[in-house]
Amino acid sequence: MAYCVRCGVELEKGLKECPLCKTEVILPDEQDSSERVMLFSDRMPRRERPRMEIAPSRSFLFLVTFIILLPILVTLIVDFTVNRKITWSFYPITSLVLLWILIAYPAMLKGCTFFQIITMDLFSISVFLMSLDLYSGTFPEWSHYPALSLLLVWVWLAGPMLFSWKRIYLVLSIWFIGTSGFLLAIDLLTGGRDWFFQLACPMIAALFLAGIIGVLMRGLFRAKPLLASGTAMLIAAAVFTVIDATVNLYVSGLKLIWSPISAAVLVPTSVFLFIVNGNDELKAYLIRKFHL
Amino acid sequence: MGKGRKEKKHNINAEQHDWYRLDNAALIYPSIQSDRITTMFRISMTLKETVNPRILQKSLEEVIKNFPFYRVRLKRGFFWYYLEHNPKLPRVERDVRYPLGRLHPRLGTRFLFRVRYWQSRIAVEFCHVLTDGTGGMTFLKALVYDYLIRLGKDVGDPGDIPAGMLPDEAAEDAYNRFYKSPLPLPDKGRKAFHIRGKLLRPGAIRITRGVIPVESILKEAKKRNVSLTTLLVAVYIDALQELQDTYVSRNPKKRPVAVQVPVNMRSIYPSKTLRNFSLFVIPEIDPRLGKYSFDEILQIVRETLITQTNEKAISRYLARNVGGQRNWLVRIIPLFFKKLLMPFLYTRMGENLCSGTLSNLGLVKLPEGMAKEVEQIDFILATNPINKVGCAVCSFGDKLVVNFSRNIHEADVERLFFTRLVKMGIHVKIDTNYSY
Repeated sequence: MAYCVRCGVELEKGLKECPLCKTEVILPDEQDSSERVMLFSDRMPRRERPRMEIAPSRSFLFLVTFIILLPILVTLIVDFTVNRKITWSFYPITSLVLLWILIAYPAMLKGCTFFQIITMDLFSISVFLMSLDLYSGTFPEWSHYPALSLLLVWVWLAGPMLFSWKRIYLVLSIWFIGTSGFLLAIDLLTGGRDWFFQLACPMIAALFLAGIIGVLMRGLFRAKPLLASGTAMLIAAAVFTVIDATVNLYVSGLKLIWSPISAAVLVPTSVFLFIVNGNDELKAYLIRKFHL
Repeated sequence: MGKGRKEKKHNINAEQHDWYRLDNAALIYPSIQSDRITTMFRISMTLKETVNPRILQKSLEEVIKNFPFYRVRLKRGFFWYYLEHNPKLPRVERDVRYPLGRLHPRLGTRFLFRVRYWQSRIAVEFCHVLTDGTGGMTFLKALVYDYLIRLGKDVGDPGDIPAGMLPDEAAEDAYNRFYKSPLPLPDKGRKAFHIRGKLLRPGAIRITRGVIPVESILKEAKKRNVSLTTLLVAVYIDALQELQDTYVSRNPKKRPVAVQVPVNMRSIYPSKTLRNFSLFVIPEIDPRLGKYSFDEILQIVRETLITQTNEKAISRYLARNVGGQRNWLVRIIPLFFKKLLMPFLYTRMGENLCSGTLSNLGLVKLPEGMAKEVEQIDFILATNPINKVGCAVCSFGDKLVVNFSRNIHEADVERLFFTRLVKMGIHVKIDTNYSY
């Protein structure tokens, strides 16, 4: 029978410390945890992944299908009666089909995740735009630009959703490759290798590198907000300089225009933060003077 | 003709059992549920033998038939949530280290309660959307009674334990039944003191169980001429007062220390409902006026519980809550907008006004044959980020079990509460789910 010497309560057999005041139990012969009948099982509760809660019901699916089917039929009949073939009705019909896919189709996918819905929606919008482009004449005329943009949006969303933020380096790499690929494709489609390698590539590489360093620093300086803020400012100053230099190099030649101004603010501020971090007396003085 | 009318009447009844409106207390819970606000409570019975999960599953499948209003899932209507009959059968599951976790995020497909077993213990965890402590205890009694019969135990006559299909009145919305036309509104209350502490990760909960001999604590209560609940609430308020003194030194900056005490309305109104039917009484002290001695706190709690626990006083709260639900302006607001408003109401009109909750299920009585098979009964409340500590009390046989649940690392309230009892000469035995 063990008692806490501070609280005076009796402790269940096998407890190594008092749950109330953390005082160590002073009865070594009764400390054997293997004898302890535990209050709860050791099994950890399963963390359920939240599923698509906005997925509409089957009744909603039938209602929306009916509401959308009516104008489709009316449009088809009117167009066919007047022109004896499908002409202008193609546009409202494809738009209504897209609307149906966006609103009602998720009801058919029982238990689908948010990612699956987003993938389906982005894909449907791309197909819709391309079908409009195809129907209106030469293909591809314009639809590949929005389709590529939607693909980029998908890549940005897919990274964290498929691999989670725990694999942050992988997510950053996917973003970097995806964005670079998108800009290269746009560059090639609009004339060819004019600006991607000279302008876009260095800027994206600088941002990617800054992201990697930022994540590394977050791990290192988790408990030191002053060091973390100071380092973040230095990284920002470096990225601004790269962007400024790259843009000017592409436009008129290597020079810096606005980045020295931002660096003049960011670098001294970060140095100040480093000094404060290393000086406890100064830190205490500042907290005393500026507390909220 | 007569037969047709009879059939029609039968169909209406069948339809009524197919879905249920949420009762007044349940309206707010679906909109505020999260990993940190699980709106659950748990009652468990520890038996004298290890639980057989297969037999327990069979009992559950049999007993749930008698409780059609618990065999439901939560569905979203255009204006309100509602409960719909769930054709599936609930499954028993092995207990976990952190009880009272959030129900599955896809509430629309699952039951709103769980049955868990571990070693010799059977536990039910109910979402407050379904019922309150009385309903939960009735269900657990019926489940364990059926389980013991299947084991071949001689448990005798069931007494007040439901053994067959429950009548319709067990599923009634008693708040609406006993609502009276507008009455003067109760006081709005002031923001109360709240315990500080570092939150555990979402889903984690720390339970500190104190087992006290009923006789010794009853003797203490009798000596002070108060009820057991009054004594416990006073000790709780005193502990919170002491805690506030450590946070805030200047009296004018202190906030009221108020403890929410659920009142079983079935003892005030003649209802046999097994859905929610409880309201709160909130005894409070104002530390801005100075430090209260324990006897002063005891007196305030006793007077509050006596003067507020009667039909006239409680009907004002009933009128306020049900009146709001019946207001046609509130009713025509689509659920989507109501959901945005509910968390605000929950915080402003509920959690902000109290520093903690102490819920006493009272003395649990079981048929003589069944009581021989039961070792202990526990009752545990879930917590939330505002009121980080909950206290649930329940007594059976010669044991009074006080379960503190908390979602913070610090165990200050429990320490002050139990050490105060020890100082009164009451023996307390402590156990926990986190210190091994």
